[in-house]
Amino acid sequence: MKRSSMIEDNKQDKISLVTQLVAGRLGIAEDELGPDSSMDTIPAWDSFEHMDICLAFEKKFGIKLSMDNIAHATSIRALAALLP
Amino acid sequence: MKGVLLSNINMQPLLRALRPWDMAAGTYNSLLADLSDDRSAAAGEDVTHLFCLYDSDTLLGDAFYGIGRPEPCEKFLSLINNFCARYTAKVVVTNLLSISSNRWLGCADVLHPESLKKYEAAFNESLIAIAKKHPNLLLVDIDLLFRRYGESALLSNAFWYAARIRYTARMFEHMADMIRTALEAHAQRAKKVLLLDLDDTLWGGIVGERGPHGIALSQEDKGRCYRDFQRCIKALTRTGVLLALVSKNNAADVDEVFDTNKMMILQKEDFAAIRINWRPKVENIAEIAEELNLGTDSFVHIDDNPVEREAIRKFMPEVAVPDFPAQAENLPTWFMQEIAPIYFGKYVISKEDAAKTQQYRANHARQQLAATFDLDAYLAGLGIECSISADDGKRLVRASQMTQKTNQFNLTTRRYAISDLTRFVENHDHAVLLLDYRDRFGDEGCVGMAIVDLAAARIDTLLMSCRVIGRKVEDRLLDKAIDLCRSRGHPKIVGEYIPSRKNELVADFYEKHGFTPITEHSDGRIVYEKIIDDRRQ
Repeated sequence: MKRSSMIEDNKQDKISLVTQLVAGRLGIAEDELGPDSSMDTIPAWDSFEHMDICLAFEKKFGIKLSMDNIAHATSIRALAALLP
Repeated sequence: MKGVLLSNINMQPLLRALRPWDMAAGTYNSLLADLSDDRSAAAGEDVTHLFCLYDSDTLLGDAFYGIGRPEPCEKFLSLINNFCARYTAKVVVTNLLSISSNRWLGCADVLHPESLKKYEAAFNESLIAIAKKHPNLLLVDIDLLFRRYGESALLSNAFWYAARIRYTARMFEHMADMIRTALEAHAQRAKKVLLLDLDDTLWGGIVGERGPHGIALSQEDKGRCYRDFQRCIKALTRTGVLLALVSKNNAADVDEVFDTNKMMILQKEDFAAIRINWRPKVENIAEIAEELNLGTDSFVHIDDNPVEREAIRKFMPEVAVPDFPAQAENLPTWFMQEIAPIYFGKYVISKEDAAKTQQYRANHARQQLAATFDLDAYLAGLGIECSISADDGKRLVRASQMTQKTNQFNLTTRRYAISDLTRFVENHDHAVLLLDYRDRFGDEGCVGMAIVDLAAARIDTLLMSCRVIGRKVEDRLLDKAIDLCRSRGHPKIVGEYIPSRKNELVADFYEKHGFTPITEHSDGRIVYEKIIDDRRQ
């Protein structure tokens, strides 16, 4: 396998892990979400639910989020980018 | 229940952690206002539980930074006192003050007149005094969570400044657990009896193998784990929990440990009931329930043996059977964190609780005087069903295994290979009898056997598995052997007892069953006989 496609797969894994988490917290189906789903595109993802998602994100992945992370990582893609 | 949660910080995530409870939150940061307002959600008639879970640093206000007096704290104390007095039908849950480790005084926080540590202690003392006046006030000590899991894992700066959420997801879950446990304790739903195994549970190793002084129980090393574990259990008796021993062991071995091993913390008097025998544990537990007159749904059983645990879970699903820690060093912590508070949590401990074991022991002694135990009634209640079949060669593997493995209830301890038994069966000169046992607790399968020499009317072998000793099923095997010999026209039957190091249990078996000793050999072997011809009796 080429190096570039391995990196691509890893990105895909992160996206699907975050999708799973967001869908679970919001109580919606995973296929209703895509990598670009965000607080702007998903009505259920309001500021209260965003806090819940961020709290669950910290716990699930063992990452401490900064205030900036909480403020800006408001899409699936942006949250996935915080994963190592 | 219907609950309302008041706080001085954003506690929305706790509502989710407390699902599926019916919970509503008061208006944001409305703790003090709602407590003093008769028309607030907290005062609602249908509200059964009020949760006042405040953040301590925030309640101190500027005083947390050494500026001014902690007035909100004083106000909170007086409001909660009034609320509890006014709404006595509501359960009010609140936390003790637990100030974070960030102290403006640093190491001077110990001696300085404005020490927060000192203030925390004084505040909590006032809160405890209020709780003593109002039994509907339930205090939870969240400081224990910070000690156990650490502030840095439970507090979040980012969420605090982003959304007034002070805690991490972990903290919300731990808080929810703590509140549930406290409410269970307050509602007095605690279990009443702790059943304990012995080998590898109260001490390390097996006493039957290592002897009463060879077991791991000592001041240092691994034995210390068990000693401390025993200390934890002893402490539990002071909270009104009854202890009972249920162990598969020789009673004499266990007595010797109690009598001579100075490292034992628990003494026989600490147990309200003791069953040391080889019977299935569920039977012993059923007996203990009857003896103590308590339902088995108030029992918790601790046992290192996963097979025993599974059997109890299967046949007595109402008994709580927690898993057992893999490492002895974790026993005390495991017990203090996962057993005592979860199963035996009590919010208030009475004087009667402290003396409960003595009370039950006395009761038991009275009962024993009043009526001697009726063994036959007990056996009748078991619903025992036995079937005895003369083996036609199909189950000789099991039969041979039993002659090899059975030590205690074994009259002659003759070991037979499968080929020996095959010869007996093929020659038709010996009958190999197999006894299958079941009762209302389950099917034990083949638990007893006898080999009868039909030509000589002699019982060559008679043995029973330890699992069914004491239930008189051996009588049925003996009756069958007698029947076989009688039907062949023999006037009497011969039995033998060959003493071994382990079969003392059956030394008087034949005498008890109406046999007369005929010959006593120098090696201790005794030959008995019994008239079986009806006309000659």
